[in-house]
Amino acid sequence: MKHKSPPVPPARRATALRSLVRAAAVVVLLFTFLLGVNGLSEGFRSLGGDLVQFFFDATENPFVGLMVGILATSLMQSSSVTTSMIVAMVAAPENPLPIANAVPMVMGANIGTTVTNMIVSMAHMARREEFRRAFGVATCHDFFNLMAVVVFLPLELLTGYLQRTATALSSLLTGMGGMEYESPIKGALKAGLEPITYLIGLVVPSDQGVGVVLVLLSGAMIFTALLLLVRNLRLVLQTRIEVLVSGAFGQHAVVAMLLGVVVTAIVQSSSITTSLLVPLAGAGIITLERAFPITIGANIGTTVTALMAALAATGVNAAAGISIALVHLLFNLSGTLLIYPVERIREVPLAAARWLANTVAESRRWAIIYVAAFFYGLPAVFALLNNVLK
Amino acid sequence: MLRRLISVFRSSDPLREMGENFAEMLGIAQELSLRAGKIFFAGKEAPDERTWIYDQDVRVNQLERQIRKQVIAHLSLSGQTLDLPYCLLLISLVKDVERIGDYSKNLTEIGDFYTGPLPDDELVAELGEIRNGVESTFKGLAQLLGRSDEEAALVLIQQGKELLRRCDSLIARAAQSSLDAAATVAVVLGTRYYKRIGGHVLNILSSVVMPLHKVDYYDEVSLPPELKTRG
Repeated sequence: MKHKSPPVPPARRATALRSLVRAAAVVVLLFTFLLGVNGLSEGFRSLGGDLVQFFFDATENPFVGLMVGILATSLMQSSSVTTSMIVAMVAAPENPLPIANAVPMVMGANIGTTVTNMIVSMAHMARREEFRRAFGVATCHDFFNLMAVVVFLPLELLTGYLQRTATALSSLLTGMGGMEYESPIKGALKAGLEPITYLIGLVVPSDQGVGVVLVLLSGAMIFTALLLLVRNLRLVLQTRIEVLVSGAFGQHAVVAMLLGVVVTAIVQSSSITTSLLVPLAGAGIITLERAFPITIGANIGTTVTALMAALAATGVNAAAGISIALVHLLFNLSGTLLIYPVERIREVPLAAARWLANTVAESRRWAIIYVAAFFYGLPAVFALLNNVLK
Repeated sequence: MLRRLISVFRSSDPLREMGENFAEMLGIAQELSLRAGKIFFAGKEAPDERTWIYDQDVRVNQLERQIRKQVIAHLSLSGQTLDLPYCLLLISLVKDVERIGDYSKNLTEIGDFYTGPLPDDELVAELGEIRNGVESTFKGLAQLLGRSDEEAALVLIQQGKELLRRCDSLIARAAQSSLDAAATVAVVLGTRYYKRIGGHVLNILSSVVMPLHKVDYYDEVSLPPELKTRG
């Protein structure tokens, strides 16, 4: 006798119209996001050398750059927003942010993005064991990124290997002719930006004023479009994401890592992927060791957004935009290759995550102190001190 | 590795996968109860058959844990409350199926202290009828669960409740009987295990007619008024 289960509730199939609306929304949001990136580049050009020089001087100190990256991303809770803005600044046709200044900022963005899943893990605070497991999985992302920065930031300062490799790769890509091609998207972005700049020009008389408004407006466009894009993609691809994430449990680490890359690339947010793991860890469905490769995969997958932004950048410094996006990718790949393959090295962030999880589970106020101090306090104090001591 | 990755991409519907696991679990539990009944009534040693039963019981337990994990993962990942009743129902029902597996196993263990066929008397004949009733209710469950046939479920619940009453009565009669101690224990335990198997089948059946919060409460007073009249 063939048994059956109780009738499965009908799937929440979107109607054809709703799917069409969502697909159109994805296209519009993507266009708005890319428009924001281009607008930010354009705004940077109009700001004028004096105004941007202050920012360039401040971020010349790599540690300040790192802290700026951490703080900006912690506040926006999205490394994609920060890195896309950095791409736009680096790709600005005039007064571009030097890549050397941008590299530590990108590294900082990588650390800052981990704050979201830390906050998600706090929901388990009331139940000690659950919190221990959830916090461990949330914080392994921090320690992985922190370890990568500790190793690769000094290495980059000494050798510039990330910048050199990324620039070489970017030249190779542009040399292939693909980037020289004036794609219809780039044309559409230019056409879309012109009326915005024109309208701002009607309200604000000076060029510098137009630049300030354009930078602020573009920043808002990037943030809002990406936020809505992530939300929309998550809704559209909900079942697929669920299948991929739950399919990653118990898989070989490389498969789990690849699934982490794919899920993050399709939702354009590493925070979504890593935050999904936290409640599962709290419930004991996934262990720290199993969640770790998925988290690392998410770290790599999140670089897709900046790459996308870079490929849509226009102007003479578009290749530099691609370079900084590639720095993000190379940095995360380097971190993965350094930390994951050798068990003893892999154990370092895991052991640190376990230790911190045990500490905060015993005395939960440490979780709040850690998040407040590490993600917000330390960068703010560092930036302030740097300013005062100058 | 590539095959694994592709297999993940090919999976489609988490709820359906949970349902399939539940159906597999229920199918194994039914087979366990049938085979355990044969061993118990035959009174012969059947080591191979018992090994099979133990192995399959392990599979039932694995499926129970698998379904629980799937439910937690689905609710955490989808963030949907729409599927909550179905998921909670599965969590409740897998416990019943798992218990059926355990009681079937227990039924075969009676042979460890009572060897030989059961006495040929009216008590064992009555127990045989209870066995047939439980097996037929289980068979009916398999037929109606997938299509949520409330009326058929109600009929089976009424029959099942009668079987459970007969179990209680049989145990009381066994206590007064002239059977030797070992035979009495075997009959009482057999009756008790069939009562439990039947009870868990009724719990599962109750999910067809009861709202989620009343699952397991198949007493007539707990039935919705429209079904009470039909019963």
